[in-house]
Amino acid sequence: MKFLSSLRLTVICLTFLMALVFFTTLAQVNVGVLEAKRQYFSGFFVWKSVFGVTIPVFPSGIVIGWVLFVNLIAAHFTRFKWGVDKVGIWLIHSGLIVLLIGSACTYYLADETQMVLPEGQSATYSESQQRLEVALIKEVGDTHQVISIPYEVLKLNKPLSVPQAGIVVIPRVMYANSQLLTLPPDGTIAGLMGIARQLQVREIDVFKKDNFRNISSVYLEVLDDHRPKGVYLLSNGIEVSQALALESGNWWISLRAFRDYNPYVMTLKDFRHDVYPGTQIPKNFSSQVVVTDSKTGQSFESIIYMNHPLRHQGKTYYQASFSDNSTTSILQVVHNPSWIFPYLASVLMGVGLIVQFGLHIVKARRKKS
Amino acid sequence: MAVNFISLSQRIKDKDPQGFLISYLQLVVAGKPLTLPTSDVYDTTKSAWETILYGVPGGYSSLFLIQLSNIWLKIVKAIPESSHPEFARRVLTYLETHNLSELAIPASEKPKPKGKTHHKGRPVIDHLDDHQLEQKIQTPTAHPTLNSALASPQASAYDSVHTGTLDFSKESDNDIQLNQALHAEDVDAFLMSVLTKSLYQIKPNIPMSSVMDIIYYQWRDILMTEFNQVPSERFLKLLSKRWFNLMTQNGLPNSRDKIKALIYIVQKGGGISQQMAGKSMQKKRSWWQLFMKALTGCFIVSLGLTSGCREKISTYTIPKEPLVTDVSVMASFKAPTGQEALPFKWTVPKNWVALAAQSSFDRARFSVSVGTDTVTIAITSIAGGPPDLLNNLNRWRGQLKMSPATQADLNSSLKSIQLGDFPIYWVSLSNGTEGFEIAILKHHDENWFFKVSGPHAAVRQVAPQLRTLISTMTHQHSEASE
Repeated sequence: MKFLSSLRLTVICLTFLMALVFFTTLAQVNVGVLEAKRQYFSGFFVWKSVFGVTIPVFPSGIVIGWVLFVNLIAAHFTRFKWGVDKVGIWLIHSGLIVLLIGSACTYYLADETQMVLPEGQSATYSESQQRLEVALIKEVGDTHQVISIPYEVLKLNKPLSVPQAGIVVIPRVMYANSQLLTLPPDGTIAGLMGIARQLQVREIDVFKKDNFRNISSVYLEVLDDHRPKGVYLLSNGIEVSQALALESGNWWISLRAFRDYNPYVMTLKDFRHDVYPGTQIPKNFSSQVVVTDSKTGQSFESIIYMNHPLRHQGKTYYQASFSDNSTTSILQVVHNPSWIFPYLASVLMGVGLIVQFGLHIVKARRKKS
Repeated sequence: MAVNFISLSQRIKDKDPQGFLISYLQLVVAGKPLTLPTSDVYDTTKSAWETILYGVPGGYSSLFLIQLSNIWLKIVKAIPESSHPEFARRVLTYLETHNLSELAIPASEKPKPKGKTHHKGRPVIDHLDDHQLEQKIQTPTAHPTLNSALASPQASAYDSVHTGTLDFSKESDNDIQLNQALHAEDVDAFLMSVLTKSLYQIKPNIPMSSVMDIIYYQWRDILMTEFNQVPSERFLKLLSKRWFNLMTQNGLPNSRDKIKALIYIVQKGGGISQQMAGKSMQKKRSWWQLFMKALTGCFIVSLGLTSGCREKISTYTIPKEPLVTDVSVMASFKAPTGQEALPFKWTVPKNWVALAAQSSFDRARFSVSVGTDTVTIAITSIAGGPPDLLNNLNRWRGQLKMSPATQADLNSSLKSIQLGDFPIYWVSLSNGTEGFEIAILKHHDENWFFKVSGPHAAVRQVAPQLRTLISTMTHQHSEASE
């Protein structure tokens, strides 16, 4: 307990954190931001291969963050005593605790997706750049019933029950990154169905840089009420949804970027890519959008540009990119339920510092007088 | 006795502060360049006399310094300030006509105090400190506990100290008490003795910190060096905890007033007595253990949640939306962003195999087999101004592990040619084993790159096919207008 609340532990954690941020910054040059973040901040340890053996070399960012949090809490209750002259310190430390809680909440709860909007078109969903889903879609009247199976839950040769569709799926071959070749299959996998009969899959090295997309592919065996329905090739490089006739009805199956649907429709009225006169240097990127509530039909207009995101129903839309000769806008959609924490922490720490310094000034003046 | 510095040393040795002052003032009146403290603040006066005594041969006791300072303060308050020799003369007269020996009686020779109001038996030091205490009471400090100790109505801190179980006027008694407290591991009794002892020291040897770790190690050092005791871990912990509580509640004992107030607080049991400290620690520990267990649990659960919370099969209903269900191979390949159409139309050589896009810059991707080798053709576009040819050339040379090119190299390796409707730049690069054939095309505000990569010989064979593809290229919109 003594060590847990000690200042020594705080210093150790802060030093570790500094080193971790430094090495993550270096790493992202080679593997990109997301991969560097995954390697250095997720799990319990940072793993490195030393002479062919993968060993933990450093505690991960999330572990250090937690230790720092526990240390701060322990110190807060064992060291600090309540007193009028300590109000400032209490506020500063409370702010720090709130900041750490906010960071943890962001880490666990926040999600980032992208919405691609060509001018004049609408979208009801945004797509994840990292996560994939196996989508099973069934037509029900004027609607689509969607079953979303996160790609991460698929494990090689492990049956996964999907009771919503009354099937069991078994991934037979999985590729983290692949090339799809327009060649007939080589016959190594039996019972191929759908587009698998027209393509070959070649495994290639996984891209770790941010602007390269991995083409994940999986040969998925489907059992409908324990009866084999065949092996389907699903890949996020294939746009097509393949037909799947089951006892529970006719479904479409595909592997695609994870979709986050909204209860409103966003329409891009105009995208502007202004440049400084006589140059190609960008001056302004902005998206004029109309948001229409799907239930009430009420709508409002907003312009999204640099440092001026649109916040709506817990999501924040930032101007992120564009394509197609500046006719398509790409918006970054951030869903972070803990967005208020950093603001709250800043206010607490700011007030704490003012109070603490104020008290010192008052004391010093009293002493002088 | 002739008045000189030797006589001053003798006065110190005789423990005669009044005699010392008389001798010293005689030197001042005789014209010696000596200083005289003029402040009526105790600490300043004491500090000034400390500096003066430092220049006198032989040592001096802290008690002598305190007594000297006390007498001087009395004099300074009694005699109005005037010019230096005149002031010295007047003080000298005052000293010669007044007997201040009562103030100079060493503490150990005084009768024991009896009862709360027995002021005669106080050590000299405390006589004037009462005045300071009064001042403190009139100007409350920021520490409520300390302040209440200083301003205690039923008895002053001083009185409380003197009515306690310890007789602080006898240092030897105090040492005995201190050793007994150490032996019995009685934290409060030990602190009482140490704090009392500190009152008579110029630099009290007590931890001046409110950080638990520092307190712990400082107490350990003090006990080992000052008292030649190797304390038990339990006693050391209890002592540190008690001191920590006292420091956090009352602030550091950086003045005599605060030390005295601390003695009062410890004597009154303000806060935690030894037994109470043990109980409270035990109670606190169990509460802490529970709290820390809960936090650790949160940590483990949250780590599990990291991977677990997003791994659930979910079902939802959406308005019907168009689905691509054409299973013909080319239709099934996803466009790079899934949205846009290509601004060009081209004829793909028959032996080229279409591949899925691998980055957001990819507009099309193919592979072609040449013997046992495979060559990749990537068509990418990047928005921006005119292409930075030298930087791009060096990027490609870097990919082939070739040394960077200069502007002269660029001019020699870059060919400007017309293929069909389009003026393009053509670059050929090879490191002997691997090679690139690259066509660069500027179209509106986008730069298009057609890159053939693979084994050098195979790339050379595929290059003419790329030229053919570019030659067949037409604008999509021009066809539409036709």
